Amino acid sequence: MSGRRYFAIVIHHLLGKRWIWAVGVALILSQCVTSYDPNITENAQKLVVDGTITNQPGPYKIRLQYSYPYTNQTSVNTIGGAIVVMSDDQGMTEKLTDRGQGLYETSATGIKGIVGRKYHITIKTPDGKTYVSNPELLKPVAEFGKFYTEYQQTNSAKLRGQFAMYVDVKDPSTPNDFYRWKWAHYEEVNYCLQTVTTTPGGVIATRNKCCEPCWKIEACNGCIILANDRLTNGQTITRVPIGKIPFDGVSSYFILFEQHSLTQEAYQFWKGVDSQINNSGGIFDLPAATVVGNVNCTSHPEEQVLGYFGASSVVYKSMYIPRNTTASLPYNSDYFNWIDLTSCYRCQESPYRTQKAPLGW
Amino acid sequence: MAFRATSYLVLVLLSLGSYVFAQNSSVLGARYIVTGRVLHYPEKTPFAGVTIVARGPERLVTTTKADGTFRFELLRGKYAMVARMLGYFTEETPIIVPEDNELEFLLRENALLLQEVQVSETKAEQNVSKVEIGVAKLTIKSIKKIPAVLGEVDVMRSLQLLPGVSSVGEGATGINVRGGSIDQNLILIDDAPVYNSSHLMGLFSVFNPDALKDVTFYRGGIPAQYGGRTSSVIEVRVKEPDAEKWKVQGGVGLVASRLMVDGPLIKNKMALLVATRASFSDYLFRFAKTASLKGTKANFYDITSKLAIKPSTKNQVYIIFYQGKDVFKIAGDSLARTEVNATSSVFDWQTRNLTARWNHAFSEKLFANLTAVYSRYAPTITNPDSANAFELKSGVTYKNLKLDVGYVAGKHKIDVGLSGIRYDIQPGDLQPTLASSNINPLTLQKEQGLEAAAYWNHEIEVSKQLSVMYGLRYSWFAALGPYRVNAYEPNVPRDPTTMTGGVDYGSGKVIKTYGGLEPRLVARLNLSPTTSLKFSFNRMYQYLQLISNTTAALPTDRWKLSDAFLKPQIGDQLSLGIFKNWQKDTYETSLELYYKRLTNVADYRNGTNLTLLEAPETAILQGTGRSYGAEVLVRKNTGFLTGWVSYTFAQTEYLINSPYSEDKYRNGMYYPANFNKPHTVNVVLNYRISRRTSWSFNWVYSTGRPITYPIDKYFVDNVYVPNYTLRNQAKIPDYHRLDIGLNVDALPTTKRKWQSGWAFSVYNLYARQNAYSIFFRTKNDNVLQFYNKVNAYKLSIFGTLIPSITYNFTY
Repeated sequence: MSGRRYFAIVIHHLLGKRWIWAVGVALILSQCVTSYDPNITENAQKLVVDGTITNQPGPYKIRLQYSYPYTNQTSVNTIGGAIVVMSDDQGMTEKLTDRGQGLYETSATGIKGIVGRKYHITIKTPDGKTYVSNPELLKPVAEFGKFYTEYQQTNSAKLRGQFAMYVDVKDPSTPNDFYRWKWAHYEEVNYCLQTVTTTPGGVIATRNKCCEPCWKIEACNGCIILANDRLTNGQTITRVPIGKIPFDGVSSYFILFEQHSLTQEAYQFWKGVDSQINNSGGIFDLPAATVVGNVNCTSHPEEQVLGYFGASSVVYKSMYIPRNTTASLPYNSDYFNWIDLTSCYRCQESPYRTQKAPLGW
Repeated sequence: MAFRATSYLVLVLLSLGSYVFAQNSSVLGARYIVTGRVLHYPEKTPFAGVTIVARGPERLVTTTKADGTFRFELLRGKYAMVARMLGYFTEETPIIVPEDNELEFLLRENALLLQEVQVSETKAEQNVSKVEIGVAKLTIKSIKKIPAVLGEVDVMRSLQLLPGVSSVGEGATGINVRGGSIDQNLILIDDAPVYNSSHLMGLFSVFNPDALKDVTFYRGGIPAQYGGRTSSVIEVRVKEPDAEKWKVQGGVGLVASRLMVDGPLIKNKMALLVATRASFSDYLFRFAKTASLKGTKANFYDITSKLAIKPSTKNQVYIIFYQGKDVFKIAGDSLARTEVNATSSVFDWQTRNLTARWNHAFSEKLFANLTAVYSRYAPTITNPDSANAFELKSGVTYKNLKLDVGYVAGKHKIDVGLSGIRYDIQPGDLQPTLASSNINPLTLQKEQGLEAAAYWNHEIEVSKQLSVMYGLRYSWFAALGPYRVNAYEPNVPRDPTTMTGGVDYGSGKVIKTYGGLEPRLVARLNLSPTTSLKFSFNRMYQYLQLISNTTAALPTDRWKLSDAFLKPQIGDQLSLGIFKNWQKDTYETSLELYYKRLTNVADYRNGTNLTLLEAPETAILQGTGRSYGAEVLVRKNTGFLTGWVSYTFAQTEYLINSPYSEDKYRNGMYYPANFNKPHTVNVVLNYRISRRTSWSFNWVYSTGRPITYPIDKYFVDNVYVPNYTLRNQAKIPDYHRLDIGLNVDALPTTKRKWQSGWAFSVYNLYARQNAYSIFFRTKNDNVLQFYNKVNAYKLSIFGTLIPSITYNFTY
């Protein structure tokens, strides 16, 4: 980014999807953010545990990987051949199946997430090290709250505006309730392959239809949406900013929401992740620090283990969000004269695409 | 020079002809005592630190003590006695020894003298001769000559140009002195403590330069009169109101404007000074490009007032009042950290200080000050949104009564005193402000404390070569009820899950006491008339600290008294210095070395929100710190070009040793403090081109502050998280900056009533984008970022040059 000059403020912070302003008055003050090469000494190869048991039907997934060098952009370093066992505090135990690519799964008929029970996992990696997670209580979760959007204009040339989404959730009278929201946008797509080729004669754009019904997924990755009831126990927690959807069409926008319960420890973990990934380097930011997870190495207690094994209750809510509520029309975003090809293209399961219709579609 | 012309000069020779017996014999013959006093004109208050030169059969130099007195032992003969002080008319009177043995000088300020433009810490000869080490005195005149950011003359910023002083970065509140944190500086405005020295979240200091007389800054060799903070003492004194005639002074700047009025209410008996300053900076935000910036509001004002009553020559009563207030409105809740969703948050913080002091002189040698201080610092955060409307109030109330008695006779100067402080702290009181608000009220328990101290400080001239100042302070602190002290399971870290209950203490019941002896020592050994060696040791206790885990402190951060869990901080400092002056004090050089040990420094558990924390002992970890450094200073005191060059080497490291594995990643390793900048160079120059006009230059260089870099990254829940382990092991890029200023003073004529001048300055002349921080972000969009790089960015705060202009006037 280049330097930006303001006839006003000293510092502004860019924090995730929120624009947060801080500090200072001045005449011509400029604050700027530029790219920087820090030359980091790297030390990777730490075990990373990522997985959650929920009160929804299984199978539940645990992903095991090693941490990556800071500059890594290519390699994938997952752990196969580990023994992963999930247990609850009532004596229920299940060994997970290695599905490859570091993914371990319970069976659909095996261990179940039940509110009020505590869960933990034990891991034995092929190098003989053993790991165990702290017992995690599966807490109940409140009903999905009142949802609403507010239209905001944007200064972007490509996008006229966006809809900010909020939720108001009624907190139960119990103290120490912690929440996390996740969401993904699904859109049925007709074309599974689009190719744009620039030739001396101009741009040629071709597309292939999908061989089967297919949905595009746009998940809000990197959104860590959290709330707690510390100051509002038993009241309504209002205006939780869930995210923003683009005003790039007037059709209704389908979103599948998940509302999770968290333990205090899990909340601390995700809060820590949020402050690390959305750090703006501002003068009132918390200095960078280790995010402590809940998995420990029992064979080598000094080893740092990353990640979190969580237990959550989840409620789902799917919704078609109308986007024809404003007087203006979105900018036209289709720039090509598409040529439809006759052959179809497979809809491959991926984080971006699925053949299964989402819940509530 | 003009001093002959002055009709204000009053020179009184007292007790002419009285004869004093020779006290001392030498091969040259009998010596006779000549004593005298220097007073400010017209207030007739003692003038300390004035250079007195006796020129005659021999040349001797001394400086006046705190009570304005001086003393010579002279050979028989004719002498010219000269009283010299920077920025004042030099006075000279002939005497005949032994007939004339007592004299008094009244020194009048001279706005026209060439020397006045010196940017000077201490006076020339004092550098070598004073029994002081690590002490700097800045007159407000010298501070005004330093190029200012946005035209606002700033006390705290000018202190940052002295060796041994740093801060975490531009725009941050407070200063770090020889490795201390910002709450370890005792900032006093006429004996009243200042808890937040910044306006506008850290851009400007709260002191109105018009109303100030001078600033004394102790970073080592702190006398026993002072206590309560472990790093430094910054004593800001309000100007004496003019007891003879009314005067109006002011200035118009781009951010703030000032007006001061002072004059006699009853001529020579009662005088009043009122100075105000207010910002009109809201309009600046209208130029902002972004909507949410346009909603930002930032305003402040402050009032400084001093009433001086002099019923008789032996009694003086002063009442000093200071009030400052800031209102700062920003979008969102990021700074409030209340974890309540808000469209905007209003920060509001206010300081109100009142000091009443009675000076009584029992005799020429014995005098006493009785001082009563009331001080209140009260920050508030409010959120206007109807669904979440709240007001979060906190505050520190300080009441102090103290008695200081001074005795000065011959080679001795003795100060003794007693002090009692009562603290009342409201750490946080959250209340919904509308019926529709979903916020539940939450009131943290109040803290009460009593701090008592007694001291003895003795300055003695052991021989011509050796002078010693030694002192002892005993301080004692009691945390008082009503208060509930939480109890925790033994042998596990304190956190909400290991809390087992608590013990209630009734009102006024003692919860916990701390106390200790604080020895102080400064010794000066003259190696030659222009060279001296100085040594000091001091121990300081601190019972009140700021709880803050952000890079720079917020005005709403919590002040916390020591309690059953939080031990007082202790600072021990050893320093050694060698001082030498050259070419008749034109050049002054010094080298100071120090080593400091800090006991019970605070650090915080990761990820704890300190706002409205009901059990702060669950978040605070205490450890030790060490700090050492060397400070070299070369200063030119006289001539058209004045100023200084200083180099500082400093290292500050903390060690937090927790017995619990939860905090294991800190164990056993010293890590650099956030503000640790090993190398610093300051160049401060002032070049006088005419009687009216002078240029000033600052160039500062420092190593970048330490920062924590990730050593790897990991992928959880579709996001890359940088993994930070070793604390502060990397550093951001080095900092350097040049500022220039042009001061056009009032026309050098005393005839005109309305006098005015201009100050132009450019901050960061070569527009360097100095790094405030380096931070890491993963790209945050709607596609899976498995292959995304974690990017590093540099944040600059003042990323370009900042010109400013200020118009000043007096009437």
